[in-house]
Amino acid sequence: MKLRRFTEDGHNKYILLYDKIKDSIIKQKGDIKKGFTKKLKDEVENLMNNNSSSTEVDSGKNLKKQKFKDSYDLGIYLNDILKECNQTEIYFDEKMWDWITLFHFDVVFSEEMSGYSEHRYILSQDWFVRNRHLIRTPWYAVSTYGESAKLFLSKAPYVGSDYLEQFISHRINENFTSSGHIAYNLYFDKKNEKPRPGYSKKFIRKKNKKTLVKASLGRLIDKLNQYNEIYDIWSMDPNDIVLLLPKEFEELKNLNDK
Amino acid sequence: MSKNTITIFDEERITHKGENPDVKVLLDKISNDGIHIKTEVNLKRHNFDDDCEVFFQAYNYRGAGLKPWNLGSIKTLNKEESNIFSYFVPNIDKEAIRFNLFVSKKGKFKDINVNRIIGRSKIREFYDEPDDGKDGNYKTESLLPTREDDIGTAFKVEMNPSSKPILVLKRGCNIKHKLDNNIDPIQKTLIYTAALRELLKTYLTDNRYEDCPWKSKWFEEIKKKLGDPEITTPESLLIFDNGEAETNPEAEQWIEDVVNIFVSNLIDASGKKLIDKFISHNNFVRTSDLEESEI
Repeated sequence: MKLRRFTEDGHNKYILLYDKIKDSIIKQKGDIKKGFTKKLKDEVENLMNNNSSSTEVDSGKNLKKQKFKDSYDLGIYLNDILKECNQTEIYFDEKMWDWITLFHFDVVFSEEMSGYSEHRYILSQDWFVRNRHLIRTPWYAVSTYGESAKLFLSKAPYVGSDYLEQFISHRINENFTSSGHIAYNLYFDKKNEKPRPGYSKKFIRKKNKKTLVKASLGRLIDKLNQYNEIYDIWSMDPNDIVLLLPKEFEELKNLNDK
Repeated sequence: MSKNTITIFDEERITHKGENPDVKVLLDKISNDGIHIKTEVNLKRHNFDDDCEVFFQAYNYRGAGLKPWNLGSIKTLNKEESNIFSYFVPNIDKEAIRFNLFVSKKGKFKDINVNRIIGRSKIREFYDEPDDGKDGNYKTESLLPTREDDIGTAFKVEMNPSSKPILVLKRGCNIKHKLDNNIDPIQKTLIYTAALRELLKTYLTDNRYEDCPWKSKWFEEIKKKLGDPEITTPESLLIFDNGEAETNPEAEQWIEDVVNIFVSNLIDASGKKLIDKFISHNNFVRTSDLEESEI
């Protein structure tokens, strides 16, 4: 099916439908399997097949129902589908992003997931929650950080990632894309194709005390913010920035060299 | 005992306001999808080396910066009396934009190649020409400027100690346009009444604002507007009696008086009070609305 975007009315119907789904799950005490009833599944299908609730996007390609290994795989696919669209126009086009979400609802909504917040399925303009969208964010991360987005998108398409949440909330990373490449080189285990565990959170609770995690992603961002004050990090080679990192990062740097 | 040597690199301050600043950032044009700016640079009075590079960066007040634009080397820039550059910054409004001009020099830190920043100017506002070009008088600024942003609620007051409070309005709702241009007295009355109450309550309860210069400016302005020496500015909204906190009724009354003067009694160019315009707008019911309500 060719790429479409909701009409105003169609988008309202989608928002109401998701509200019904969420409400039903809450009534089933958070049990997604019980809450997402056959009736609601049919309503999703009906809205999808109702052509009057959406219009075609001229420059969009054809979407294909399929399974995705992880969010990165989904991000690659979305970047291909949308590469000929005007990137500024689609950047925050919630009617288009939410329509894609409906088309791939079975991909991003699963009985195996634990969270069902509407921000995952309805794109919010609010900066604090906009990156929780399970369709737009994989597209954004792949288009901004390329292969380095693997660090943030290594999980199933229906779950969020802690590395992503911790990374994307810092504004320095929005345009200073080298930060994504540096983080990928430090924290992604290329041999096993997965993020290194234990580094995504800056603080953890140890013996009931808030404890700083050395060499964590949060510490890396602290250092980048510090370097940004004294160095022109935008013009520097990312490898030189890694060399500047203090001793606490040595182990990670060495892992990377192996 | 081992010895460590630290080399301190001084960062030279580049000026952006006052008379003959090193850099002037001027607002050229506002369009629907961003803003056009002009940047005028003259760094001759500094003794930067010829091979230093000069960069200019636009960023959002929250910290997301565009990739810096290279303005050229000091050698190239110093050939001209003044250098003017034009840029377009997409998806931003003039209240949210900030700039950073820096001079970068290649060097080494423990054998690592680094590009050190040796001169910088952090620019938070556009260059404002003095009114008469002589005495340095600048346009008066609002004590509660508005800014659009992607927030969940329709509006909120953003406050931090030592910073000017800002009325943040939800982007895409057209509220900012209506408030700034006095188009809708209903929205203006409701939003400013709530915002001003919140601002005053924060100033009167939160100890972090004790030495805030903006609190002082606000309270000076309030004193002037109230124009009654009998009315004393309350110290706090709370009074403590035997360790229990209670609301100070005098402070509550003071807040109401201030909101009344600053919002309800605000007079426009034709002499009409905001509250009177609110009443007439609210009592005006369009025929179509009436028909719909009767169905």
